[in-house]
Amino acid sequence: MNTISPYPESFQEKQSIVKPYKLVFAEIDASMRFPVVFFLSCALVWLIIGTVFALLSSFTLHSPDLLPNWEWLTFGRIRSAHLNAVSYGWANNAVFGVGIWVMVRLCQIRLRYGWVVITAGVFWNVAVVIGITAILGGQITSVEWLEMPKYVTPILGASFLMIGAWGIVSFLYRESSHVYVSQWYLLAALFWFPWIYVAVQTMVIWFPARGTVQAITNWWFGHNVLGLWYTPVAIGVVYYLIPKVLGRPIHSYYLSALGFWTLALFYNWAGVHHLIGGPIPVWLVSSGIVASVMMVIPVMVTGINHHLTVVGYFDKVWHSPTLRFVVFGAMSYTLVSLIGSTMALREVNVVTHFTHFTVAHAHHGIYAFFTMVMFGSIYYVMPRMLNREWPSALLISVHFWCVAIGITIYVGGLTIGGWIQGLQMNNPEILFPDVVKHTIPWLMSRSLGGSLMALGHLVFFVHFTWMLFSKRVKSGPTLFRELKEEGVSSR
Amino acid sequence: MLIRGLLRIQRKIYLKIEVMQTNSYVFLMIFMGVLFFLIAVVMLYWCVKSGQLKDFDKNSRSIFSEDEPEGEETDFFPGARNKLKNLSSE
Repeated sequence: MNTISPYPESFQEKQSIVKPYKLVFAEIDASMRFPVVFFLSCALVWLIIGTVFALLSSFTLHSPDLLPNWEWLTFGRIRSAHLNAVSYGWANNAVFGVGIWVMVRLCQIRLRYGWVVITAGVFWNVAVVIGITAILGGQITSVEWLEMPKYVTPILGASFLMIGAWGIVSFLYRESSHVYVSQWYLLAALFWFPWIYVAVQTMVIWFPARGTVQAITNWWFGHNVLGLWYTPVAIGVVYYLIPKVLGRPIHSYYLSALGFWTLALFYNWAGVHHLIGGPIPVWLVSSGIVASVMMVIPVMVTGINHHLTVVGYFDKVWHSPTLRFVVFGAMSYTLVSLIGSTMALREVNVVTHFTHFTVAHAHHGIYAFFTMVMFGSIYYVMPRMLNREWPSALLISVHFWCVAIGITIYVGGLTIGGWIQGLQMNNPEILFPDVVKHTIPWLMSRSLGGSLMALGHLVFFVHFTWMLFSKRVKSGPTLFRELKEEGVSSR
Repeated sequence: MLIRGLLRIQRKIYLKIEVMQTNSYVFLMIFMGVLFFLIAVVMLYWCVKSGQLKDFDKNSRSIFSEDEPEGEETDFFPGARNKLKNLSSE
């Protein structure tokens, strides 16, 4: 206990007077075992469901006669079901689980009244089930990212507020004196998401604004749900896990603060670049393009910071299941954001718009960056939740290689194919049906990559379930502390 | 029942908004925008005032503690840690 405490002196004094006992991480983890395991299990189930829809829609695109001629299996519906299953099902549940874990851990408190979070989570998942069933049944709203019928969204909104409120309440009752950069990202995300979700639901679904304002609002949301919700959470997790696993602080804490505030300043404006060439005011598009290019600043700042923390430690990264995924995700973040800024330029956009290039870019962001970071953090969180080790090192390797190779084929193939498609569509001498036919090999490469990813997900699901239900502790948990020694049982 | 009621209320408000024209949205949006901006400014002000942007070197180490100290890795492939430990003890 005589080691130098990393906390400011005033905090140490407060601790010694008011509360001589400081919570250890094992206790904090133990307090949120059920909510986090619940959210992560739901996330895994949704990942599998979303993957099935993804594969079906991917195969349908190059082999249209593959599926029986049923209405609910048509491309328009299963594609939207895929989007909603992975975004509201997998991604949000993963964010809830991992986000709560990082937030509560950094606040150094116990999570109290976990059953409230679980109840809200049950409502969230039931709402997603209803929404996706409705989409398959044809009650689709035809607004991208908001396909669920409007009677579901109040349930989603209310349960989100409950879960988000828990993050904010934990923050208000924090015992830590310093607000770590991950907390900034998480808090901001918790503040932004309800804001954009309520605004877009109001202006597009419940009381539709007139004309192109709807489209502007729609894409303002569509971009911000990625940029102001999934991205900050994932970056926050990266900022926590890289230093934590390596056991060395982030290279430049100053840069991380700069990266956060510049992201907060620029990202919100960027969504209009989805409407370049559309019938909306040119100044609006131009401001969106400027903001998209300005995003290079936070991206480079974050990328350099992560890279300089990891550089020289790549062997350690390789020996950690968590960091393999997380560092893959962090590298993808830099790459995908730079491509995104380039795509926002009018000259580039004239080629990439309305092509598979955009699809590749979307999956690059939400999969190669976000999902990989979430996979990595699940590998870190679960042993600490269940106090047992992952059963098999082999399955982790198989999972990593399947999804890493799969997403590389996916993004690589569709990026090239999309670019060719864009060039051909701009060439009036090539007939449109020919352009469509020329995309087929690239669409097949997507199905190949997608199948590999699906295999990886299946392996991960089996491994996760195996860990969840195995009673036997194998060679001591991956944990770095013994629960009993730390005095948990005595308190 | 609840859903039907909600939908009816929505239709009523929708009719009113129809009358008010899209202009009413402009004022709402300006109000919301100003509120959003103010919250961001307050956050930044609090951030600076409470010393969050000072002493970066010390604060970047706030994630470590006695039970998970700096300089110690915390994640390996299952089973690998024991092997590494044995190697170092030999």
